Amino acid sequence: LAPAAVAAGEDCNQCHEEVATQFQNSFHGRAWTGTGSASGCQSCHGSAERHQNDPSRETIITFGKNSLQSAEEQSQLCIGCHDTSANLAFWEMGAHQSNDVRCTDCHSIHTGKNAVRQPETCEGCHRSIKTQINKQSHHPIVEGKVKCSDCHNPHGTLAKSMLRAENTNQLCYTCHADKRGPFIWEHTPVEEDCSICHAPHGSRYDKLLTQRVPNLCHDCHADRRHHDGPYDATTGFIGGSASEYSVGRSCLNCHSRIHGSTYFQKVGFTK
Amino acid sequence: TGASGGVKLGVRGLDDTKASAKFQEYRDLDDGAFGKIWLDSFTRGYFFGIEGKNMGLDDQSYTFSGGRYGQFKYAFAYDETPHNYAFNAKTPYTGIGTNVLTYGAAAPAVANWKTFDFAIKKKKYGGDLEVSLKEPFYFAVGVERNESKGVKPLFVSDRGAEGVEIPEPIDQVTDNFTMRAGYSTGEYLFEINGLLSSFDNEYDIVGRQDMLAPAVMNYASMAPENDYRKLGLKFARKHLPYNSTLAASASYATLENDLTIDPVLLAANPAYTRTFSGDISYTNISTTLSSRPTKELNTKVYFAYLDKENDASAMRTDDVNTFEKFQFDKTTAGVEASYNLPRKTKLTGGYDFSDTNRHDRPEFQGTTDHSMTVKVRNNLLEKLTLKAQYQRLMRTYDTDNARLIHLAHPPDPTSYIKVSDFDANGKKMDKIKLGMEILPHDNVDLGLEYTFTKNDYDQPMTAEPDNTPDILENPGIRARQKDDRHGLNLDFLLRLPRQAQLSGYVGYEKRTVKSQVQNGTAPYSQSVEDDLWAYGLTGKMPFMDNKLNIIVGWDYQKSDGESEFGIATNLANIASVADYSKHRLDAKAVYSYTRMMDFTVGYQYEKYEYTDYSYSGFIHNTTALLAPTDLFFSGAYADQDYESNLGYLLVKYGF
Repeated sequence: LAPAAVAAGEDCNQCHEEVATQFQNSFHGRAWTGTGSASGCQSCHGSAERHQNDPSRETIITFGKNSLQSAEEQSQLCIGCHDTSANLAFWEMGAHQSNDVRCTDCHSIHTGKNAVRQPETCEGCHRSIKTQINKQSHHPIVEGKVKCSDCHNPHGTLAKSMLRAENTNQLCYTCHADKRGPFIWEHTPVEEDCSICHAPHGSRYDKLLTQRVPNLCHDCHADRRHHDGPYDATTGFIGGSASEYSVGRSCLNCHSRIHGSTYFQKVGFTK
Repeated sequence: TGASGGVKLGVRGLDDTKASAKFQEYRDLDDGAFGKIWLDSFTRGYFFGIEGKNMGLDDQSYTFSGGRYGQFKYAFAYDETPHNYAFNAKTPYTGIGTNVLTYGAAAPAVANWKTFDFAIKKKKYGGDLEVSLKEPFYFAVGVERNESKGVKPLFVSDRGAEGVEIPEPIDQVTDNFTMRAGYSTGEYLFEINGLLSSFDNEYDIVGRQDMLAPAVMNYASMAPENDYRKLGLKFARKHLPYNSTLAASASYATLENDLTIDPVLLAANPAYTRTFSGDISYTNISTTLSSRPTKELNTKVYFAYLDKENDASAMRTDDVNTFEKFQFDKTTAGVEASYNLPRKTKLTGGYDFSDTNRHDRPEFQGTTDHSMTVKVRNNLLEKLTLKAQYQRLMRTYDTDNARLIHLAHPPDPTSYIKVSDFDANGKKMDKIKLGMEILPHDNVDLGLEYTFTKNDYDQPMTAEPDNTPDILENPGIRARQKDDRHGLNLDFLLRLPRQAQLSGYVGYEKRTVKSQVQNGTAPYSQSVEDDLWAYGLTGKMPFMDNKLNIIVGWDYQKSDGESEFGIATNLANIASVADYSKHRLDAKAVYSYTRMMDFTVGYQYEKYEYTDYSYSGFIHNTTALLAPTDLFFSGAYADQDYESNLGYLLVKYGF
C-alpha cells in the first residue's frame, strides 16, 4: 500500500469533479501545487489504472469507516509521507493508534485548511465529553477559549490520557501558575494530583470539584473535631441549626488557601 | 494563488430579565455591535491568514498566521477572556482592587456596604515560530504573556468566630518562553525542548480590618511568585525488528521562589524565620516499546517514573507545628496487547502497575495499583460496531504507624489518627464499558455508550496511641465506603431529503457516594446521590432551493443531588445538593442573498436555575444565626440564576 507514483495526466476529475475542485483549495492541494511537490490523487488512493475500468471501491484505496482498508493501513498511508514529522513520532504510542482511529476520522483531506473543529470532532468518539463540558462548572471550552488539544495531544504522547505534559499537575501548572507554589504549607493531595479534587472536563459542583464540599473534604479529614460533621439540611442559612462549617462555601469559608499557603504560621490553610 | 476571506457584522440586543455573572462567566454578550473578520490566502507555497473574533468586546481574539508549506510557519495571537464570578456583590471595605481593605472607625451595617463586581480580565498574547531547517532538522520557539487583573472572592477567617468574604486583588503576570529543536527522520527522532515560565504577583499578602475589632488588621497570604524551568529530551527509533518503535522522553523541571515574609506579619514574632526558599524539582522518565510482529498482533510495553523532590528551606515558626516537605515518587509500568481475531474481532488485554511512595504523608506512605483490562470490539457487520471493556483495579496501601502516633494530638488515649483518604486508600474498582456504533442506512449515524464504575473502598485503618493498628475497632472514623457511577451517552445524525438534517445527543449520569462515621457519640452514615440528564436536538431545514436555511437547536441539562443520612435518626436529609437546570434555545434563519453575501436573523434564549442547601435563605451577615460566630458574606455564588433573551441581525460578506 505504498503511495503509488503519480500517473501522468491524472484525469480523476472526469468522474470526481466536485472533489477535484475542492481539493485545489485544500491544505494538501495548496502545499503540493505551491511548492511544486509532485503529488496527486494517486499518492493517497493508489494506482487508478484498474479503477478507471472498474469504478468500484474494490479497485481503489479509500478512507473512512466504509473503506476496505484497515484503520492501520489507512493511517500508514498518511504516515508514509508524514513520517519525518516530529509531531507524529509518538503516534504508535498513543491510545488513538491502539483504538484504530484513522487520520481521516479527524482531518478533512479534500476540503478546507485541515483545521480540526474542536470540541465537535473529539465529541464524535468521546461521547460523554459533550455532556461534561456543558456542565455548570466548566473550563471555557464551549466558549472557544480552551481546546481539547491544549491539554491532549491526539497524535500520541508517552503520558497517560495523551496529556501534553508529563503528568496532571505539570499540565495544570501551564495555565494555573498561581497554583504552582512552592508553598510553605502544602496540602499533600494538591501537590500530588490536581484531579483528586477537580474534574477537568466539567462538574456539577462549583470549581470543577469532584464532590461537593464538605463531603469532598470529609473523605479524608475525620479527626472528630468539626471536620466530620454531620452537616444536614438544618445546618444551612435556613433550617434552624445553621453552622459556620456548612453555610456558604462550607469548609472553604475558613480553609480558603486550600491549594497551599505562604503565611508565616501553620494555620490550616486559612490564611 | 488564491484568497478567501470575509467579514461578519452584526448588532444584537439582550434582555436579561434575570441577570447574573454566571450568564457572562467567560463571555461578553452585551447589547451592541459584534463581528468577525477572516482572511485566508496562499501563493506559490506561502500562506497567510488573519482571524479576528468579537472585536472590541471583552472576549475578543485575533490571530495572524503564515508561513511556507513544509518550511516554516508563524503565528501571533491576542486573546481576552473575562472570568466573571459575581455581579453586584457587597463589601464593607474600601480599597477594592488593592491589598489594603479598610472600613474606618466601625464596620458599617450591611445596608451601607458598597456594591461591586467580582471579575477578572485575562489577556493572553504571544507568538510562535516553527522552522524546518534543511530536513531533517527543525526548531520552534514561542513566547507568551498571560495577564490577570481584577478581584475574585476570598473568604478569610482569623479567629474562628469571625470571617468575611473579601475582594481578593488579582494582578498577576505569567511569562512563558518555549523552545524545541530536533532531528526527525523516518527512522529517528531526537529532540531537546525547554520551558521558562515566570509568575509574578503584585501582592504577597492581603490585609483587611477585622470586622469585630476595628483596631486589628488581619492578613492572608497570596499566591507566591515562582520560576518554573523545564528541560526535556525526546527520542524515537522506528522500524526496529518486529515492526517496533521505541520511544522515550525525559525531563527535569525546577520550581523555585525566594519569599521574604512581609514584615507586617512578623512584628510580634521577631524570632520567626523571615525568608523562605522554595525548591521543588520534578524528574520524569518515560519509555514505550510498540511492536507489530504480525499483522494481527499489536503490543505495547511501557515504563514511567516520576520523582518530585522538595528541598525547600526550613521554616522556624513555633514549636507546635512541624514543618513538613511533601515529596513523592511514582513508578508506572504495564503491557498491552491486541490481536485481530477472525470475523473482524479485535481483542485487547492490558496490565498496568503503579507504585507511589510518599514522604511526609505518613498515613499513606505508599499506594500500589494493579489494574487489568480486557477489551473486545467487533465490526463483522460493516454497518455495526460493538465494543465491550472490563477493567479491574486493586489498590493497596502502606501506612507508617509510628508516624501516625507521633502526629496524633493531643496525645491522649482517646485520640486516634483516622486513615481514610479516599484518593490513596485501598480499594477495588470494577469498570464496565459497552458501546455501539450503527449505520443502518447511509443517512443515519447512531452511537451509544454505557459505562458503569463501582468502587469499594477498604475499611479505614486507625493507629492507636499504643501503636496498635486496628481496623474499625474504634469509634470516630469517617470513610468513603462506596462510589458507584453510571454513564449513558447517545448521539445520532439523521440526513433528511433536500439536505435537511437532524442531530441530537442524550447524556445521563448517576453517582452514589456512601460514607460512614462511627463516631461514638453520634454515629451516622451518609449517601450523596446525584444524577444528571442532558440532551440536545438540532434541526436544519433548507427552503427556497437552499437559499434560506432555518436552524433550530435546543439544549437542556438538569441535575439533581440529594443527601440521605442513616443510623442516626435525628438528621435531616438534604433535598438540594447543587441542583441546577440549563435551557438554551438557538434559532436562526440564514438567507443567502448572493453567493458571497448572506443575512442572518437569530434568537437565543437561555435560562439557568441553581439551588443548593448551603445558599438557600442566604444573608450577608450571620450574626443572628450563628452568634457568637459572625460571618460576613459578599453574595458571591449566592444567586447565580439567569434568564435571557438575545436577538441579533448579522450580515456576512465572504469572498
